[in-house]
Amino acid sequence: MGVRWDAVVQDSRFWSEPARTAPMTRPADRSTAVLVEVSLFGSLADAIDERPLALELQSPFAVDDVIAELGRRFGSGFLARVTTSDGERVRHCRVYLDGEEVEDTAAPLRIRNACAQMEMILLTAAEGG
Amino acid sequence: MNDLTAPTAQARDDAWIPTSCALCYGSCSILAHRVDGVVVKIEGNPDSVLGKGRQCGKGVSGIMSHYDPNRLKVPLRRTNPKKGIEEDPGWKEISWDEALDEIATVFGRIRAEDPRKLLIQRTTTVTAGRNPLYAFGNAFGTPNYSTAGGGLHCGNGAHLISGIMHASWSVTPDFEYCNYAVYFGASKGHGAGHASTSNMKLAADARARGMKMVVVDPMCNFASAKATEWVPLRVGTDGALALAMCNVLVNEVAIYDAPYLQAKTNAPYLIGPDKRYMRDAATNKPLVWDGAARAARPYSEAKSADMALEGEFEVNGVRCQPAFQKLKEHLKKFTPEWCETITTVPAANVRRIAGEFGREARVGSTIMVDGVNLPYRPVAAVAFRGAQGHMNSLYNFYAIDLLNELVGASDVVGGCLGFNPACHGFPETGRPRYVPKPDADGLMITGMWMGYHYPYPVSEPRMPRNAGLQDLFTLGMTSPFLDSDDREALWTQFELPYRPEAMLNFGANLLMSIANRESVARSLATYKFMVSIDIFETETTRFADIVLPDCGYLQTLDSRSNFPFIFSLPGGMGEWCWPIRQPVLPPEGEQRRFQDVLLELADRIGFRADMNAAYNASLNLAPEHRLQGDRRYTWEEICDAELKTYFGEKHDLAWFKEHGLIKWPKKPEEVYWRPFVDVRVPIYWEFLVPLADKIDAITAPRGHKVPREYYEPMPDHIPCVSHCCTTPGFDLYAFYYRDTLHTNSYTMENPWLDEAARLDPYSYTIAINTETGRKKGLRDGALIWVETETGRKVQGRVKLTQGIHPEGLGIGACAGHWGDGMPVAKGKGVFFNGLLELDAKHASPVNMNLDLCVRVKIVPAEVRS
Repeated sequence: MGVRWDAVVQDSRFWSEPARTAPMTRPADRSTAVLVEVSLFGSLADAIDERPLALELQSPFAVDDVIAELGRRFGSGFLARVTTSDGERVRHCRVYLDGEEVEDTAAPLRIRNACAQMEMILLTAAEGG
Repeated sequence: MNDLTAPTAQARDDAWIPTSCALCYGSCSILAHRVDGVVVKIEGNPDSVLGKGRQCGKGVSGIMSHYDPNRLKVPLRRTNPKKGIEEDPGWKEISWDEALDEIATVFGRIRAEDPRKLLIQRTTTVTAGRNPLYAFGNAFGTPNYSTAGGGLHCGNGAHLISGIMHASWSVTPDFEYCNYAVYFGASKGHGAGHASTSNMKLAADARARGMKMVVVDPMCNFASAKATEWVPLRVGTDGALALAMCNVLVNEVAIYDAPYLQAKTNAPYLIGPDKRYMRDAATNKPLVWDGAARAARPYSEAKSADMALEGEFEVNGVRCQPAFQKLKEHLKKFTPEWCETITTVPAANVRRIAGEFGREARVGSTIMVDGVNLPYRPVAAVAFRGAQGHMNSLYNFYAIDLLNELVGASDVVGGCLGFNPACHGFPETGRPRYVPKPDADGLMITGMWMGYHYPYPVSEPRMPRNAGLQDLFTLGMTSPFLDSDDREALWTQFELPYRPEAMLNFGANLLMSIANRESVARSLATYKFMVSIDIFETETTRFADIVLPDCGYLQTLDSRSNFPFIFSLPGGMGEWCWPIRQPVLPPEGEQRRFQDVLLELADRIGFRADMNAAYNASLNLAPEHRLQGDRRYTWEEICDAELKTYFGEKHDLAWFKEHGLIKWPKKPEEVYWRPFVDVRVPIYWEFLVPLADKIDAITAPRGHKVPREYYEPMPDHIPCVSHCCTTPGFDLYAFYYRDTLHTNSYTMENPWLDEAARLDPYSYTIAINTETGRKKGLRDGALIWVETETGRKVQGRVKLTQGIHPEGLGIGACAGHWGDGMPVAKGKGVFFNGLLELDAKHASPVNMNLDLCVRVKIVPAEVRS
């Protein structure tokens, strides 16, 4: 009787285990130019005329840097669709780098090749039932 | 003449096919027995966790829905341009090419102009529709979705609060261990709702083991009939009862789980005079009072055991109190005596039930489950549609869940469980893996959700881009404002920059499922172009310009018939289970699977690359299985990619078609995840205060003042419109209940279920308390009008019963079809929704939930001889 909740928490590492082995990547090279081909889908697609859009960025960079660059090119209207007023990516904007979802958009990216493929799409749907 | 020699000359087709039911959204696993191309029997699949071989009456009757001669079999084109309830569409048969060409032309033009002008509407009955329609809509570029009445009536409070407090879609007692469950208008364990047949067995075993089941409900029907104790109360006052019970626990018998409140809720967070958190200047984290340090510290830097729950402190010259102290004081006004005046439940009963709940919680106890020591709180307070279907939806459900939070019975052994909020994944792949996580304030963000509009953190309000206004009223999910009488006024007021022009409807009969049919009909008639994909010509289908005949559940393929697991996989220990739904029979006539139709439309309009990207994202496909570019994948290939993503190369679609499902054991750390994950839930909803400020900053300049009483951080009793009626003669509260014989408006066309409903004294009648009826001179079978103050009325026959509150008037939901397309259903039962208003005045200002109770009077409709 009387076991504290926080005592239970401190004893377990169950959820800290990695879900699966991370794919092998090479560390981000410093001060090298990386070509990022950005594809915007769904409601974001009308922001640009070309798909993919080629951006050259200095490594290391983060998704937030890509979003900022897109904002510079396509204006505040684009940023308003993918970021909050605090500048953070909205949750329903999904970003994938070479097929892997990027959740921490502020973290420097680890790029496998000199050219990376980035996809962005808005998943907007309320659900009931 | 039949050739009697033919069958013996051929090998007979005789197979049991593992697949999934779709007579309701429970999606139980079934075996379909096919003989010579005909399904002759449907049974539950004993290998599956979904039902464990059991079926409800709806499931076994599915065969009659499939073989219904009234099924749509060819595409239809409207010839009558006028749309209305009494208008004949003047259908003419057209080819698929003609139909798809016209749809692609119109949708293509809309997509080029402004894709937001397309509304995607779907039924909640067919879960297979969710992902393909999301993918289509996201690829198309529209934010406008709706799940009709299924979403609007049951989801906005129940799912929101289950998400915020339990990281799941719904809640259920942990049947294997629970000893005392209080049901507030909930359907968990008696053949309906999420995990319906699974929960039937679990609940029955729990009752046999001795679990006491207290059912709070104005009507003694499906849940109450199984209960140890039925607690009748005035319609729509469940929250008031829960608040009084919380008061008894905290202020009268002093039973609460302080260590839980300290470690797993925001109860110790200090609240300032502005109702907001006191925050650390350096980190911006909420402060707690650290009793050991005798100082305020960020919550993340103090030991939970040292966090003060009570008292008053001064921090930087500001007087403040822990949230729990605030709550404790707030609850004092909800005395059992006050509760009795609101709910009619005797004060003594309120005290007794609250006391029993508190004592049975065994606060502080632990139990070993599969070798893991865990907190043990064998009580649960659960709610669903009954309690939350009101103006005060949010506070009702919030107050009920507070009972669990106060005694620490939240996602622990025996307590109130969310449906599977944490999954460590299939052992060979680690997928799907999800678990709740904390935000910067330490509060829980759900690890999995049904849509992309997470319940918490609450999105930032903005000028609406959604026609449902969910991006302004951000705690809402399904919106009444797509069809409401005041929608145009609201769109103008909040400067919606476009108007919906076209609707793609998948199976929803919103004319019957939302509210009064005149309001919805006016809305439907404004769409310039409407496409309905359906299996029957419903009342709503008759407003369509083009109708496409869909395949039924025995003809279709769905690689995730029971995923996400937070929806309908039973909670508690046992196994994870991922079944599929697969074709048992071919299409009839020119029926086509809607998933194929959506892919074909994407190709014709020219957005297949977007569709592939949307499926990649919504199915979370692994990099090696992602759909590439604009390649034209078949629906089978997409399903195959999803299954291999989650279960590895060897478990592809072919493997699943043979085996039907895959399962693996649950672990205690998954089921009872709460002790192992460092997240807190809000017993004090501080975030409502700034949310109201932000909404008000947008709406007030446009003439709409946010009613602050709905955005207070602690729950309160706010009466429904019906509670405020003072007009003489309107002395009954009409409500609807979900008949377990039926699923929404769909199954009334099923002859077996219709026969069962006609044999049932209540399914198609109006239930009124015997004594009340006697005073009004009513008898069983009397034909009456039920009328509202605004003049809406429905007609039906009386069934007197002692099993209903004296002020209640109960009607089975979604009955009263009038269309010719479903002749078995036509004219059966009472169309309750005909009594409901559909406007902002009857919707919750905080989560947009429609008010589903109505003050009525009854008038005899026939003169007795």
